[in-house]
Amino acid sequence: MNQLLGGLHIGPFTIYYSFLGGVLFVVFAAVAAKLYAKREGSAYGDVFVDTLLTSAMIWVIVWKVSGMAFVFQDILEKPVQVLFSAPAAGSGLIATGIAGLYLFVRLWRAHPALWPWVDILVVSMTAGLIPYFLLHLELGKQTTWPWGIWAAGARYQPVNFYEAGILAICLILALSSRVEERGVRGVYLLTLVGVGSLSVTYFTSSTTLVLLFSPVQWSALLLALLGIFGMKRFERTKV
Amino acid sequence: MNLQRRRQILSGILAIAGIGALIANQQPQTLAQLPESGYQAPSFTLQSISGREIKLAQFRGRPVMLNFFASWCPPCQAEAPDLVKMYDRYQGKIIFLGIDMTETDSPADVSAFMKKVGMTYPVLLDGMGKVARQYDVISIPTSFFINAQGKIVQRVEGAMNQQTLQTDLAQLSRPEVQT
Repeated sequence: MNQLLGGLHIGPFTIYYSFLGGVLFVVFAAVAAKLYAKREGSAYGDVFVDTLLTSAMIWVIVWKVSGMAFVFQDILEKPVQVLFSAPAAGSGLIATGIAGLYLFVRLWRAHPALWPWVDILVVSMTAGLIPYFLLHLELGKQTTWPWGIWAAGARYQPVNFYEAGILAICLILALSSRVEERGVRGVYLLTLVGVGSLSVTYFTSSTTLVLLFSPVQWSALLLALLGIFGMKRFERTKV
Repeated sequence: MNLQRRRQILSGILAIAGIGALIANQQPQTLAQLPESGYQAPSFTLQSISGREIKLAQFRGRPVMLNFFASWCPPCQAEAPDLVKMYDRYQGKIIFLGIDMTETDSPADVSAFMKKVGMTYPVLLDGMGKVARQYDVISIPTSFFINAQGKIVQRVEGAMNQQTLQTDLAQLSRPEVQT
């Protein structure tokens, strides 16, 4: 399974599996949004898919070129070198911030109400993350379990497969629940994903802790708490 | 089952998962050796171009910048002058190690290249490409920023410019990155 660190070789080019995971994230998220909107009779499916695909393109472009913002002189003196340079350290964060802002503004302008978007957003992101985790190897703590993955003489927990499995279970649970109001399925799924992801971190090696938890654990906790507050809002609705 | 009941059950599970995560975080953590950010840098021993045997482990306790390159590779040639400038600036704070992909290069060409760009930091010869495979180097240049504990902080594929290098090296030399 360590081959997941490599990629597909096509002539002189290599497509990393982790990059392929990112592409599949967008494809699965778009298809899931389209199918879910159709199933629920929502009119927002097409707008969402269109916005999602544009956001993904914005992410790639900003990720690649954001580093250039710091090298004005190089752009003039050695433009080709700048074009083929590796992205800067914070490029991923900058790209995520700008693409996320675009997604938020476009959806808000299409319909300035929260709940029509929550269901589609949470369902599509969860569906997209399943192939992403399947192709993005993450090894956790050492284990003696037979399905542990060997790396440099020891066996480790394949955390990314656990994450993909948990997300698939959460998605099935949420989609098989009956709901009477828009937004209920989204907050329910958000809670399931938060609780599930936090449980998976039991197997990860968290070496960087901020106030007792790792950044991933804090994110999972935040998602779960957001979902729980959302569920409380819809408390009287039967699922 | 109504929503309230589900919320109560999930809140309970969240509390248990939170306590479980807290307990798990207190246990000693052993990172896997993988050539990716967040993992322990794979250990290796190579000969330098001057004939010295150099082990990555001998630099434990100090941050290391590993740069895989070849003398014939145009992006490596473009990156080299900036690397040399940064070595002059960070010498003593960060260990710089160049790893030449000697499988596709020759020691004579590497020596000529080093002389041409003024490279004075140690360059190791990966004759059989074993370390490049161990570090899963598919394209060159590929660089690894390793903290004092031997953990890979960042993996960069492609040529870095002076600004990118400056940012990454400044981050690597910060004390909080060493844990």
